[in-house]
Amino acid sequence: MNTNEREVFEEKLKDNTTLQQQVKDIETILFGVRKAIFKNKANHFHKTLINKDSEIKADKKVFNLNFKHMSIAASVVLLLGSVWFFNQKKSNSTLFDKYYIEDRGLETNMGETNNYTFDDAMVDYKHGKYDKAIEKWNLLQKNQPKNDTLNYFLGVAHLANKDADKAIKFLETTANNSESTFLNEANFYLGLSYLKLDKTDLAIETLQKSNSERSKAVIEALKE
Amino acid sequence: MPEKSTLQKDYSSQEKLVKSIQANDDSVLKSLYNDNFYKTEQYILTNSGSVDEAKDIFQEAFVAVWENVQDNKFVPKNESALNGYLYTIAKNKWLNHLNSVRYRKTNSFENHVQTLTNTNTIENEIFKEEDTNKINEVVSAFDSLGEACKKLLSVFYYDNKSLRDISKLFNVTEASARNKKYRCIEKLRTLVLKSN
Repeated sequence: MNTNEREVFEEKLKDNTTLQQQVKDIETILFGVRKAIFKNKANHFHKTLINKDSEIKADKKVFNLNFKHMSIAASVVLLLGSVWFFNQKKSNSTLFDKYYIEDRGLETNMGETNNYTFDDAMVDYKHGKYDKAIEKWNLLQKNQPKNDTLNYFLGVAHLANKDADKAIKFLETTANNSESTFLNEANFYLGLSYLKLDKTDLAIETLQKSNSERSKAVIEALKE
Repeated sequence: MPEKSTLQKDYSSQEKLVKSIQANDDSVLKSLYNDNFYKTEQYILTNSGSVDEAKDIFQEAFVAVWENVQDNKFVPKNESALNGYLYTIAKNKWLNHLNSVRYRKTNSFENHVQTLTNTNTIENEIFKEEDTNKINEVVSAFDSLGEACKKLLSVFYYDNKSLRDISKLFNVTEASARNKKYRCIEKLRTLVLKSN
């Protein structure tokens, strides 16, 4: 359609409601086609995301079988290693920012008096008042130093408060309790605390103990 | 002046990003997917969701962001603005899901409602409900089309290839490619009408 034809058409379109509806129907069909194709694309992106692990494993197998490739790989690794070493601080911090989301906390029921202080601190935590929450949970933790729930939330509250150093002690206590329901999460946040402090080896070792997709993703990202 | 050059740089990066998404640039879209999926998954997993639910919600959000950028309803200032937007939509969708019938009887209801009222505006930017329903009917009908039509419509309307390129790709004349496309659209229209 040239400019003149377009102008004539647009003029016609102004007063013709049937034509307006027809144009809208065509637009809907064409957008629907594009959306359907895009949805399939999104599904494909997801498959490549999941297949990433097996691709990495397959690559490693080839290198094991071929000495020449191994030596080339070694040089590349050495080169990348140097780059990685100088960029480690930046990339660890970037990875932490990418994967860190604070724990959402537990549901609170302020009507029950037994756990009033615990829940009260949880409300503070959920409102981002980490110092207050830590202060309250600390008092409880003094009487129950091995309590996995208290140690876990003290750990995640310190981490949310940008104090990975302090978080580690508490998260370790929960992570060492193999019966804790917070075991996976404690190892995940403990791993992230190490990452924040640039203790990459410890971070990987700890994240490996957490059986979550998220931990696997961070480990893979660290190995890349 | 350094300030001016920074502004120019930001503008060009913003324009490039929007154009890449509107042109369905695979590499840009793929990295948008990769950069945001795990963060969203972690949020959903730590908030009573499963791995499958995380995938479904993220894909819905991913498509919603694409729709809004295609329709100029959201113009990202830079890559991180786009990432934030995608993550917020995914979070909203998850909170909506939590507030669905299955969860209405639990204690958490009030908390979720509070969060939703603050963030619902983004969802409103998406197509009006009636239009969205019509578009989704086309999406379902498209899946029932034969592979040949899917491929032809895909190069026409998703890849935006020229009629000349398409005729070469399918080894047919331009007139034939145009006719085939017309027949595929008519088939699709019939499928949509049948579904109503």
